Amino acid sequence: MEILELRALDAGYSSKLVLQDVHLMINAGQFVSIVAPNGAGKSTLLKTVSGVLPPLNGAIFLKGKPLNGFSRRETAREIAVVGSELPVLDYTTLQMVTMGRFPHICRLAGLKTEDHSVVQAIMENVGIWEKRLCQCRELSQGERQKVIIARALAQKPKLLLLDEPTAHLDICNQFAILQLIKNLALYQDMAVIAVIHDINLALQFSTQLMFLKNGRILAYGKPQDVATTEVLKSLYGMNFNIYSDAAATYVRPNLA
Amino acid sequence: MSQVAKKPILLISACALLLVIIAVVMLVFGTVYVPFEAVVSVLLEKLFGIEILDTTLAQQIIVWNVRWQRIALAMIVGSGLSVAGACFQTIFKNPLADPFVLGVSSGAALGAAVSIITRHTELMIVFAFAGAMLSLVLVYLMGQQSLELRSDQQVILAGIAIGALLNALLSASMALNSEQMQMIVFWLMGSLTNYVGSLKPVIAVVIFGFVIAIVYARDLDVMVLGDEDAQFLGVDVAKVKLILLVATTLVTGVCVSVSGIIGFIGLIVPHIVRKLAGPTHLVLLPLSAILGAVFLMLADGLTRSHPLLSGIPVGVVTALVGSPFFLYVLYTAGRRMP
Repeated sequence: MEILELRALDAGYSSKLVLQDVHLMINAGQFVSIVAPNGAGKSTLLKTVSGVLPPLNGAIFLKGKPLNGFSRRETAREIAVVGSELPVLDYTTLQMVTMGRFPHICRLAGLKTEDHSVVQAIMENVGIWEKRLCQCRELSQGERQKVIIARALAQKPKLLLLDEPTAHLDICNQFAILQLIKNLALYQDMAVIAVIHDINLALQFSTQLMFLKNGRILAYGKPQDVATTEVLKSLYGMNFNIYSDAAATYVRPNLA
Repeated sequence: MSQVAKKPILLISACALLLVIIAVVMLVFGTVYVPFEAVVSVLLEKLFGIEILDTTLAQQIIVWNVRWQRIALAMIVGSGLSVAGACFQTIFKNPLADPFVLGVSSGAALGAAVSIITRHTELMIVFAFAGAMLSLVLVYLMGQQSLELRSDQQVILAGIAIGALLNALLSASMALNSEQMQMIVFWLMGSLTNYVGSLKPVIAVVIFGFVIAIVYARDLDVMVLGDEDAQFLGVDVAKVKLILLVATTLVTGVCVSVSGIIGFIGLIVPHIVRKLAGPTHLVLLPLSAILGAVFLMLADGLTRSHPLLSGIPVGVVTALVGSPFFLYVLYTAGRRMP
């Protein structure tokens, strides 16, 4: 099922064009990683796709309909965003995840039984149900990241956008979180776009890889097809060696 | 999670009961002795039309026209300012925001000063309200240019600038009319004795503001996370901010025009409630309303308790009593500011 389509998208701010001529088509079950040097326009892309930043030119289609025809509430039922900041607040874990139901609940009626069961199922799935009565500030960074992801999943989105979901995590949690997201994409008919700095993590977990350079798509496709020495050299201005074994493909800079 | 926060309904009911008890106690005490039964009887008769005992006309006037008028005004103004403060703190994500942050108080003060100078003191409320609305219009013009693109600090700074402008006009008018200066200064310090008109419009506006805030309580919960996350979760941040700013500024304007500038309530009551009951607005807003009413009623009761204290404006008492208590709460309770 087609989830998102970008046609000739230009994005950025009135004073500064950040992204140019971006074309993209994403289906349910795909896990797209965006890998790019700092300042290449990754966050601008996520903001534009999530509808917070209006595009300068071109069009965005969500499930075949123009994105600007969706209200904020309707958008939040289809698209969830996990930002790179982990907030420190007085809310309990349960209250925090329940906020993910906001776009689905009627203002005056409040939470229904269905909302409570959705929240509980997701928190159990992510592995934080035991921590439901803890204050968010008492949790470790890995647990807090899981809370934010659970909140996004409670929106029951068709498209999940993540901005560096593994930035604050140790290597165990990095793998756990990305495996979780990948499984969700595969089994829950959801599409995922994640900005990931660690190119090796991106290679291992994504179904599609996008390299951005100076606001344009440099390469897009299956990870092993696009992660070539030429592309990486063009992207980072460094030489890379590419290694492959049965389990994975991985790259490292050639400093010699 | 503290024990109290688990039972918000219980906490709200307990505080509401406290409010009723304190209100009745306040009605009983005063310079003229009125028996407790007579107080309750007058109250029931005037509020619900139920007659229990025969009360004298003097008792009715003392309890209803003198004491109840003042106590009810204290409750309404205390609630209104506290709820407005709670909303402003969340909207601007700034623990220092209070109901006067957007210059409403300066607008109202200027209006009141104009009425005093032009010797139309009988229209003081109208003038003060017009001044408050002047600042509301300026706020609205600021807000219209999409609050979501402007940083909260920018709106606050603009509010401070408008306040400073109106304050300068106020100072100038005072300097040019020195014989009326004392009256203006006293008005500025806040008092519940000036207003003798009908309470109904004041009650209506404060309840209107409270209902609007409750309708958007869940939006406010989400907005605590930050404007961007709130948008991701489906809150139309710019729209909600504008609606709540207009509603709460209206409430503040009405409160200021009937009671002058009573500081500190809108700042500290919501913070104390956050410490008590956590950040959920469906609990925070009603509790702020109730405890704001209790706080102002007690502060006003203190000025009525002894002839020596009767000259002190209630705004001075709220700051004198409020600041130490606030510091105590700040340094003993475990929760942080929003």
